[in-house]
Amino acid sequence: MNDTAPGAALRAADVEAALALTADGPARLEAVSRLVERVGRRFDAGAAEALVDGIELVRGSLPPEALSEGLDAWARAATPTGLYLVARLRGTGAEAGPAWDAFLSAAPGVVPEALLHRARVRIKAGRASEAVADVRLALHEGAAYELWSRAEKTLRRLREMPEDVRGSRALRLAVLSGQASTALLVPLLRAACVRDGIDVTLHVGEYDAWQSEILDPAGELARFEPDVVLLPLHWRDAALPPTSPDPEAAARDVADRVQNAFAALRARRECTLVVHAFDLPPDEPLGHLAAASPGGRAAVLRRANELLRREAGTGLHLLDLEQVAAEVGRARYEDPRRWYAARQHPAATALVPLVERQVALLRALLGLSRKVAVLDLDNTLWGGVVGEEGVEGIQLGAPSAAGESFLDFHRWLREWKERGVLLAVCSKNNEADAREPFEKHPETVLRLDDFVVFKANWQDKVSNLREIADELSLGLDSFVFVDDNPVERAWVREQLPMVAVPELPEDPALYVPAIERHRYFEPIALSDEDRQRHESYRAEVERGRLRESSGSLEDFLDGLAMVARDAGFDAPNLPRIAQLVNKTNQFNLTTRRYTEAQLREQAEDPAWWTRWFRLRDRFRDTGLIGVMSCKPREGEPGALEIDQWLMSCRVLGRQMERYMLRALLLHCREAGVPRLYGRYLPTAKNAQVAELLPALGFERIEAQDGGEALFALEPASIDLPDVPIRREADEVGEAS
Amino acid sequence: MASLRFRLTKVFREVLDEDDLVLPEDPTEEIEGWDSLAHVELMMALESEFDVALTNEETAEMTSIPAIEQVLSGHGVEVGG
Repeated sequence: MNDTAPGAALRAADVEAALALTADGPARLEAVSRLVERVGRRFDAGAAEALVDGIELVRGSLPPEALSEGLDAWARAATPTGLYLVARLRGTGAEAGPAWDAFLSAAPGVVPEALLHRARVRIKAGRASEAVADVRLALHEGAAYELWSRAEKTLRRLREMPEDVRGSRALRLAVLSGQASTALLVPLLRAACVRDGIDVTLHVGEYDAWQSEILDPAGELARFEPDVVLLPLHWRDAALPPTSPDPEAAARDVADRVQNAFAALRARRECTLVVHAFDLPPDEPLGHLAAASPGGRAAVLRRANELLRREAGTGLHLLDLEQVAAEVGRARYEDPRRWYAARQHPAATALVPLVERQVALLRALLGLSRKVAVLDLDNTLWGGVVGEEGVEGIQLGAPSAAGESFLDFHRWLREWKERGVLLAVCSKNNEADAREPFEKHPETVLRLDDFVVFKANWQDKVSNLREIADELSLGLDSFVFVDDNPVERAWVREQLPMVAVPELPEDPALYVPAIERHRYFEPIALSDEDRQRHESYRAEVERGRLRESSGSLEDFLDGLAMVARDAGFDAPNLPRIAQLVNKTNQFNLTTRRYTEAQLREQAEDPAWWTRWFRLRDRFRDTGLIGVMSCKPREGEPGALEIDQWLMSCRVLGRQMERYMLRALLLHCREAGVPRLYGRYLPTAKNAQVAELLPALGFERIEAQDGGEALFALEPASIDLPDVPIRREADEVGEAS
Repeated sequence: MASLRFRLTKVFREVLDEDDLVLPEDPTEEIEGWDSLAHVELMMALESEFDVALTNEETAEMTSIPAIEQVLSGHGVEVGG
């Protein structure tokens, strides 16, 4: 059995049993060496750690040179387990750095524990940014409470977050407390924010003081000025008796308490409230009647959740605790011992799945949800290698269990596509071979036109990913890369750390849960545009082809037969306007982020001019893709200043910006606006609009060192720009 | 296999995030950082390290190293070794 490749499985308990027989140093070292040899290329973190303990315990009776010889031998043999021992036993100073590098490149997959060890070594060596990268990857793959807690402590060792890895999006987050303590929750949430590029500033509320803190107009919470308030309530906070005589009134009362708090928060300042939808108590004196009897506690809580859900959507978001309970299992979700000892609810084992949901919602609110799934083909979307085995030879659908798993993976991806996630292929294959299953396989659910980009070639995947990002005009930080090959995954992780690369288990039946637990694509609210996104990106690629084949750009644009609609901000379009305002990074003159309620206020202010724009052409309706607003210029009566001007990258190069300016100039002339101002506020991503205003006839009147600049023009003395876009005048409804 | 003191040291170093922490011989000597929050984490970590389920009565008693050792030995964990 010692010779079987890749090695014999070894668990921590086996190690302990094997080493119990050896008490003195040299004999123990020999026993460890034998075990290291026996496991070969296999690796089990628990067993490796037990081997470390085995050596540590006898260090006193082990001559240093014997240990040193042993370490050298393991380093030469370079098996994952041996390299792990070398790294662990070489100490925690700088000398352990290369040892961890060696282990991590030999390890079969991501080993989060080892990443945290290396992060700590890197922190000591002053390599803070690289340490943060390790912690991020550990938090991405690890899901155990203990691991997250250790990761968070590792981050705390950094005196400050290095500039280059600080989150790109600032967030002022208030975490209030109901009857459950937030002491264990908050550190994990902070770590999750660091992982996901959110530069978070936290306010942690006092225990069970959420109502008074929200109502106090001059308290700490009010002074903190949060962007988002997280209210982690649970069933005890509803304070319901086992049976309520008037169930509807009881449910209304519970929902009202949350809604009143929401109203009080919003009356003071614009912010978003994220509240837990109530979980259900585990014990029910009514037994099986609890669900059936309308006055039972579970029924009333469900009803309260329903009432809250009805109000949700505009600044109030619900996070379903019952889903967390279902994911971790009811029996592990609550630990009454921790409740009585420390007011901990749910149990620590449920905290990571809970925090994953919380931070997914925060990402969605900040526009950081991922948008594109880039997929490998062989052994990712079907079993086998199509280039070798042909369409008939691959596994997809019945009769094999693996084939059925792959097919279900198709269905799952297709559902995400319907929800607005873009699918792309990136595969090392001959293009004709790669396309065939989607065209000819009788079972395939995914078809060629489900993909916005299809890259099957022999280039390396990093270059392909870069090209896909270019073609879609989307950042790589909105990509998820799905590949069954651990070498490709490691290469992409190393070269493109902004791309999310989930580990995939060997069995395709487990692909979906392995990806789903990361909640990469969390939506805030589904808009029609989300559903149409795929079509419009596909049409964009088609249009690219049209652009190649038609003569002049003018001819091309005319050939598109573009028709635009525009009107003031109005209620039905506000969710989409808010989404665009908060997600658009590139074509965005000022990158000012506003909540839906703030946008509504602008719409209602007669001194402001607000406008949304839709565009369609003969290929597609791209939906609402542009937003513009002007506010009165301070100190210059009658004059306007552009507050926001942004456009979805779906319609770049279509002269839509000229159409938008034309609409604004028409308004200025009609309203007799003497002077129109515009300001460019530079960010890391909006360089493309730095020269937008001067290119359209504005005059530069002020320029600052950082790139910020102020421009102006006189609407009466400039020609209206010509545009190849017709206005759909008759259908335009002005905002009332 | 590993001695109790060795494993306790591991748990305390992990939870209190002190790489070089040495458990004091004197039971009255205070361990820095062992506050009520750390206590909750310590108890969870002890349960997982020694594969035992501690009652709240026990965790309330476990306020010093000797007290922890005593409770764990009551659960069949070998103190010597």
